[in-house]
Amino acid sequence: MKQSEWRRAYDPDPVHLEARVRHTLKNLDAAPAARPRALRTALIAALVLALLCGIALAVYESRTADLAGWFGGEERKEALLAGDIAPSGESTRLGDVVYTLDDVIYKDGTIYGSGVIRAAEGANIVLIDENSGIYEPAGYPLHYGKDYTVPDDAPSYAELAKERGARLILAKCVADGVLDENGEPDSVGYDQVPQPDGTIRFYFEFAGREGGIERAESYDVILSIANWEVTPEGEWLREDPDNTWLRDEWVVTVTPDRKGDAQ
Amino acid sequence: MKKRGLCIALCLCLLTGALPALAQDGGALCVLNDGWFVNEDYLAQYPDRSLEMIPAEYLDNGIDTNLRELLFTTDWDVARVTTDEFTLRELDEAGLLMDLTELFGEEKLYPAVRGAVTVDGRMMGVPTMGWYMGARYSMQWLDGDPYGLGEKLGLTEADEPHTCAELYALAQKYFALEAETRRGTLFFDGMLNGQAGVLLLSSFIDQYAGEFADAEGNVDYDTDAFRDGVGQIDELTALLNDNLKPLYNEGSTRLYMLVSDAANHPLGNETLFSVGMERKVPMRLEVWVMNARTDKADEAADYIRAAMARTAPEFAPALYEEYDYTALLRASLDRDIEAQKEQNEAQSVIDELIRLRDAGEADGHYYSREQLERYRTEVAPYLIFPKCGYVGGWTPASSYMKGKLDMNGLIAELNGQ
Repeated sequence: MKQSEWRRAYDPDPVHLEARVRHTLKNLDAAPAARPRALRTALIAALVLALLCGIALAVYESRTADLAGWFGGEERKEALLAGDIAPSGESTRLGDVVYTLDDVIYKDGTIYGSGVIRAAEGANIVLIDENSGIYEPAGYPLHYGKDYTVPDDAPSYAELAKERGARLILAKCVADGVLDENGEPDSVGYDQVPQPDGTIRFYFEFAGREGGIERAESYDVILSIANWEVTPEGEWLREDPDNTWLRDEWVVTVTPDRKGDAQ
Repeated sequence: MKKRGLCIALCLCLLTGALPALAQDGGALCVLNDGWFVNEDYLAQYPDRSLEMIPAEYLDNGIDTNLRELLFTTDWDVARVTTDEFTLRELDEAGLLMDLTELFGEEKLYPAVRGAVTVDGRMMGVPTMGWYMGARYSMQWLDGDPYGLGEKLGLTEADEPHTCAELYALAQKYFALEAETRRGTLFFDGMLNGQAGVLLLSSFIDQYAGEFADAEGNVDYDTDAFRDGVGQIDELTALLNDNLKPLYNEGSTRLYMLVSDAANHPLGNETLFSVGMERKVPMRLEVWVMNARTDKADEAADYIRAAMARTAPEFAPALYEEYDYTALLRASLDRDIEAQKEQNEAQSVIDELIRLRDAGEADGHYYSREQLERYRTEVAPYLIFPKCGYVGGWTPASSYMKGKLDMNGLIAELNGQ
């Protein structure tokens, strides 16, 4: 798959989609037309706009479901879209790294969620996830059996950091459960997927102990966030005297605004 | 009257004194440092018997345990020890061990393994598991060349390295190939996270310690053999660091590794390395022993037999010169089948395992006869069981590779452990 095709594998941001719609409309309106053709043009534009909005609504139902589908196929995505979806968009900052929770899904006793990790505004850092090696091509999800093409000259994380004079920061976000009586997770599945734009998408899923998490009106999701510097030689700076390890627990309240057929 | 009263009083005292003892589980077999699942297997076989477990606890360093203290101070009947921490001679000379020759002397162990559990001609322990202690790697173009690497890169069995110098020669051969020939491959695990040198050096330290430890487990690192080995790793690491850019095939994010780190479990397809001129394979044995003072010898022996049965499918071919391959294959697949049933695996998968078990075919689900023959000829004769314990080589290796220690500093650091 070419890089351009790979970019399209991820659903577009609503912001970008809106910009695209506006651009399309502008170009449509700029074309000179006779009176009968102007009416037809307006009708076509309205139809296109309606279609694009429909597509926007259809594609941006849940980034978590999208990511689950990327991991496990379309069936997996459809299964999660049938759950209770709670959008978030809440962010927190730890050091030079910003963590944003996109949305959470409750389905059959399990909580699923995802978000993005990015560099704070103005911070000169290169983010790396814990599954990637510093000499691997930056921003490519390499360990998922996907068929991307990695150009020979793709810079590694180490090269990118050197090129920019930036620090290399390993960042992660793992769910610890929900704050309720049976919210302690039995086990937590999680992953961090590097992105071509230098961000990292994080994903998690967990079920509660003894039968799962109870369906609720809202959930207080506990996320463990952390980041630390990695040297150009691959050493993690997590011990004194060069300890750069930052850690925090971040609790985000999410309320599903769309109920599915979850049990 | 007075006498009768005194007798009654005496009896009452004796009875009262005996009550606590009776209230305790006086019939329980005391097991020190139990192995996985052994107590479950034992009680399943002997449901009318009882056990008292004495676990060994980790000390503050998270590596050592209080097993030594427990061996010398508690009333255990049967215990599990390892040969890298204890010699049976030491425990025997302390009067702790029962001679097991009569009970287990007929076991057909490999000569080296028997030697590790024998003191002055007496069998003092029963081995149930073994784990490699030294340097080992998987050469991914061997064992049937499953990924076609041998064919692609022009490598054969003759290219299999067994020393650091030979590994360096292999790396030189690989990197001399055209870049397009190497596309889609990677020489060594750890190259891409910057840890290749540390991995290589810490493994070398483990191997060196295993080969050169004296009878007390002491190791002197200030030798030509050690310095030469570290020098070879320096050259290899420099070569790897000059070639860190992997080339991927179009439409693929996969890289096939030539040399990867291998697990310490024996009987795989690992390539074992040596440091000295003689081939030596350091191994740590798990050994079950009986207390010389136990009054439950029969039960203790049954417990040891339960431990042997638990580990036999996985480890017996590494310890025994003679074994029933078909029976071990069946036992291993029986466990696989039960596990798949518990996990609600598809019936077709379970049926296939049953078919393999009944046909006596391993087909990747158990060691092949070829694997076990290779172990018999290339590994078993060279087994040694050093008492050097845990070798903390990673931190000094890391410091050395980062330039924080020079060679003398590395040697001093290791000798000071």
